[in-house]
Amino acid sequence: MRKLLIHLALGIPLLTLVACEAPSVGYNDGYMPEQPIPYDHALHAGTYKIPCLYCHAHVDKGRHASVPSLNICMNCHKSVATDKPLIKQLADAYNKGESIPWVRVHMLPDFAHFNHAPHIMKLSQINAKKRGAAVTDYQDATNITNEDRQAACYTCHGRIDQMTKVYQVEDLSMGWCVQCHRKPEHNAPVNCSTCHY
Amino acid sequence: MEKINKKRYWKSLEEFVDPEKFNEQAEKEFMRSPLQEDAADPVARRDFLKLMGASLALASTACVRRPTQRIVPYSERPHDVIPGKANFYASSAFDNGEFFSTIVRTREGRPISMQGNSAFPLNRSALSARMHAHVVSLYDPDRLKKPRIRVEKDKDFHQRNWNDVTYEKMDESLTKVIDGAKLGMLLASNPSPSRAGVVSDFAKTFSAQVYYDDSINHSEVRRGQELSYGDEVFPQYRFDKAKYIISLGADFLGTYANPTANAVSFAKTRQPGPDMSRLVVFEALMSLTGANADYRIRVKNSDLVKVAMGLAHEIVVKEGHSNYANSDLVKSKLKEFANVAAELNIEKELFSQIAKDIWEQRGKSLVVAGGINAKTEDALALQISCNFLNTILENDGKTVDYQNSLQAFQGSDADVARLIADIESGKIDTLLVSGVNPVYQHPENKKLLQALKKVTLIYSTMYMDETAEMADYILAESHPLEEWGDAEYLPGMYNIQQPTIRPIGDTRSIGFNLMTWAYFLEKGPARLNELESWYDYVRWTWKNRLNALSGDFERSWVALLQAGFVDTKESQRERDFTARRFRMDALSQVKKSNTKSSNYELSLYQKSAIGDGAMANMPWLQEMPDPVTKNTWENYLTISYATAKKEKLKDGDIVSLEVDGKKLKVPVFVQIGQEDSTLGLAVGYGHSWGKVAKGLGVNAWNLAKMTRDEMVTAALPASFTKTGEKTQIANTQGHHHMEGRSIVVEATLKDYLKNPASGIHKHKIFSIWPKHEYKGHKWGMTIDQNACIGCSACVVACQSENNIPVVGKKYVLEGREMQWMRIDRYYSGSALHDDIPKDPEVYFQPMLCQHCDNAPCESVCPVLATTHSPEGINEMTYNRCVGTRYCSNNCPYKVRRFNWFAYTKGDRDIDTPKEAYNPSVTVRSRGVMEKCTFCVHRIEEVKAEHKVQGTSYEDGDVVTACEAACPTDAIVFGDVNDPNSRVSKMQAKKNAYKVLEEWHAQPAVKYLTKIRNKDSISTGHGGDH
Repeated sequence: MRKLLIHLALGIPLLTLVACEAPSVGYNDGYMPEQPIPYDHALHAGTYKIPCLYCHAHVDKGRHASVPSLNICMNCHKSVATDKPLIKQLADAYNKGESIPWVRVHMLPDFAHFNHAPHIMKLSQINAKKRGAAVTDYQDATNITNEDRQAACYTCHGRIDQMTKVYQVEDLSMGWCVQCHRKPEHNAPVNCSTCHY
Repeated sequence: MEKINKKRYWKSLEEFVDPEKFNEQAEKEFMRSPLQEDAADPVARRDFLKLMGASLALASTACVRRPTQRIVPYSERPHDVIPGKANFYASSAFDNGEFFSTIVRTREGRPISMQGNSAFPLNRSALSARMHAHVVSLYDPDRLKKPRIRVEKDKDFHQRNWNDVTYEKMDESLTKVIDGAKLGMLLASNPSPSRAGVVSDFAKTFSAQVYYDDSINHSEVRRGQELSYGDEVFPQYRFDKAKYIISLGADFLGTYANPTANAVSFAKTRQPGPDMSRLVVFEALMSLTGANADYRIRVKNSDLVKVAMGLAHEIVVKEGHSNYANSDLVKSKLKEFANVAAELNIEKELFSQIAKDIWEQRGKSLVVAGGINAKTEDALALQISCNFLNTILENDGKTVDYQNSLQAFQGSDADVARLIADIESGKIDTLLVSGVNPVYQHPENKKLLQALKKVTLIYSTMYMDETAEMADYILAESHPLEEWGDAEYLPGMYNIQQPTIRPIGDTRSIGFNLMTWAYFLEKGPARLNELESWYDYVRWTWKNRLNALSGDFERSWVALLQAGFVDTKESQRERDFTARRFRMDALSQVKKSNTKSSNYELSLYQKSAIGDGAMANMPWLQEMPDPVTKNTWENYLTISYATAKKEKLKDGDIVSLEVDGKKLKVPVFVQIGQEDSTLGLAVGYGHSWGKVAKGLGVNAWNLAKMTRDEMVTAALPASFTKTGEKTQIANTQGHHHMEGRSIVVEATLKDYLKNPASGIHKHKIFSIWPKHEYKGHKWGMTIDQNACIGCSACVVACQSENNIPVVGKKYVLEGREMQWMRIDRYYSGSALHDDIPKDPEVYFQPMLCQHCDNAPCESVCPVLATTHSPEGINEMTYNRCVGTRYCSNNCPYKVRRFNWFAYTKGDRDIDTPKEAYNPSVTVRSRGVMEKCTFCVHRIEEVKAEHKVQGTSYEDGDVVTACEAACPTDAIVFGDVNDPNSRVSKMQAKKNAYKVLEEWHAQPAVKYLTKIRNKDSISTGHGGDH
């Protein structure tokens, strides 16, 4: 029994060494997975200038940015580019009531709770202020423009509007989170239970 | 020389008898080291861990790419669902006669927790412990997912062989069975008008007989009301209107009738002050209600009638009060009860004083009797004498509200007897059973078991339980969270039960089944054939009622769904009604019984977590320490300390208990304060089904007795013999012990009125610590020990909210239970030297992380996993914790819990199903310390919401799970930096104190002293030094 356990204990790292081709230490910045449909953000958000919040509709309402449900795609693709094979694939899934299993790019561990809504609010307010707009309230949409909100997204996700294939720009480490929270103009909490609970 | 000890407080017998040894034990916080070599496995865990640690270090540098995660969005997003945001639905729930208006919280379409509907007057935001576990039962893997048909009918029922079928197939077979059958229906009573409607439609159509049997029958109450006043009702007891309450064996705060609503209403009169009510309890077992009594008097259950009539004698004959003072009939009836106090060894002056006081408070007093623990052969006489007392005291119509009566408890043993007779005479050959589990609940009734074998048995159930084992057709029943429903628990109070999830399996409600069969057989009124679903039937039921309200059904319907309830007779609720005329001939039922010559009498009782046992498969409830005994995971025979001494029995000794020739082997547990000749055994255990419930405890119903077609569950003549075997009862009262320091502070009302700070010992403290500065919020809590009744609903609510695992009996025995909240139960009392006080007083102290300003845990953590937040919260960062457990060692309140094993992996039967986890709270793994967080995830959610909405925090925005669950508002949470918050006001009260203040940990939780409404001056000491 003892021998078996020792073999087991020592065998695991050897196996993992063999299994991984390119060992690297650190975070997932640069992670650029293949998606089931190679959705092009540069085309949609860049060329056509569709606001981020059109598809990620709940990013300023709740915890998750939420990958759009298929009915949002179909708002346009009912009539746009319907002949393209990938759109057909999308429409097909939608008509069958199925979904697309997108690969997650930005991933935080389960013990770190990140809430999109207050970040979008705060950062777009800051962006608006930088422009010189008088902003007091996020709900007051007259002063905060789409560009302000979009720039808020870029803060962490980089220039998504220029990415053909989305990848992780920042390392999303705790140190990276905290350096921003510590900026005096952000006036953000840095205690543990801000994110860990 | 006899020496009187000064008043002491203690938690367990060991502590009282040998405090030194107990403290030595208690100092070993982690009771048994898991690092010791296990005899069975020669490789010590420690060695293995060392090797694993080294290899993990190697492995983790090798490859960091996380496994790919998928995000699968909705194809068509449901209108109201925002991923990551909870939705709340008003609904309602009914459990063993108790009714709740509820708010169900769902995440991504999945119900994850429940709380009460704070607008609803009966239970407000509180729920019972069982109701908090209701959500888990939805995901219980043991639930039937499909209906079943017995393969072959086998006379002796050895053939346990069923085919899983679809409901289509079931309908096909059953319609053939039902058509032309002599049909009977055995149902649990239910306050649903739609259910009643469809049952009566169906019964009329197929000329079926309907019988009612509840899992706990209180038929003697209805019968007693009928004999006393002519109307068969289950009155609503208005504790909130009563200034003087006498309970005759009724555990109305714990298990009797609708305890949560009772607790809500009882708490309203318990604010210390000149108007504080007094509770006097006469009982044999130590119940939750008895533990909360101002005066608790031990009497045998068989003597309760004497107590009631004795009090009547004191008032009517001795004092010459009331309308009956001149009635010779009454006087002659009461004559034989003249010397009750002496006969029952009750202090004579006290007994007379109670009678005097209660007469003084006539019209504002209340006498309650009942419950299975008081259901002796004289149960009916007890009800009648209790009614008589209420009439004498002019309480009828005032504190005994017979108009707003409870539409529940229609079930009776007489109905069961009628069913048996009808089967035997051939009047019934096919029986449909729903809502009750008669085979489990009537094992003593051999005639019923024989009768059930004679019929084709159709059983609607969620589990393969005892009755299902005998059934030919098993209808997989939907969970109440999956089905529409409604209720009219009080007349004119309309409640709706909204489903919050589609049925997970191929299940149906009984109502829909009845509709479907009528539809296929093309019989019955048009509605059975035309309406398509159970939802339509519920709406049809409400159409006329709601139209009568507003004339616009759709609008009223939506309003009803949103609010959860509408009270059409609100003005009737608070009214006093005229007293009913008491029928003197009812008193002929009341006879002075002569106590039988048996040494011991057994009384069955319910535990507040397990109740009737229908939810015994819920691990949360099994592991919830019983409020009084603090035992988990099983039932046991409670005996008094004197009996234990006399019979030389200790906790865990297994005895063979005998009642009427029927034997059961049970361990004993010594319960202080229990009447000496009474034995207690809880029902709800000993199931033959369920991965969790099976094999836990024994089925106490076996010992019940049928007398004149009534089930007798109390004062059963019993005897027991020692078997010499021993077991360990998983008791938590000695765990997480605070080493004998004075922690509970009490005072009598008399003391309090003189000096509200009475009993609090003030220390002069100087600090070497710099003071924390809190610029924004500073979270704090107050716990009113005077309001707390110890019901432990908060314990389970916290478990549900914070994903707290269940550890199982084995680890409870090792002191590793994980509940963040515990209710410390203390006994106190002075007694003769070396003896246990026979009449201890009981205190409940909810204990949770005190979020100290100078937290002793924070300073010893080597990895800064536990830190102080700028808002006064003692944070626990799981991902930093390396599991040294220093913090727990250094915590004076013993509120930290360590994950010794991976309790959340889901590989044990007792693990919480993953679906029931709260996604807002991290699920902890092995090797991590955890504790109460002040529901910081709720705080963060509220803060984020305010930021987004541009609004600011107001008192009451953050409600912790325990605060919401508390029926008596004992727990108040809020911002102490806001001088107008409820918590600030409570903390400023003179009777607020900090536990172990002299340690100068500066806890953020303050406790209010326990006030007992006694005439005496307490011995508790105050002052300062």
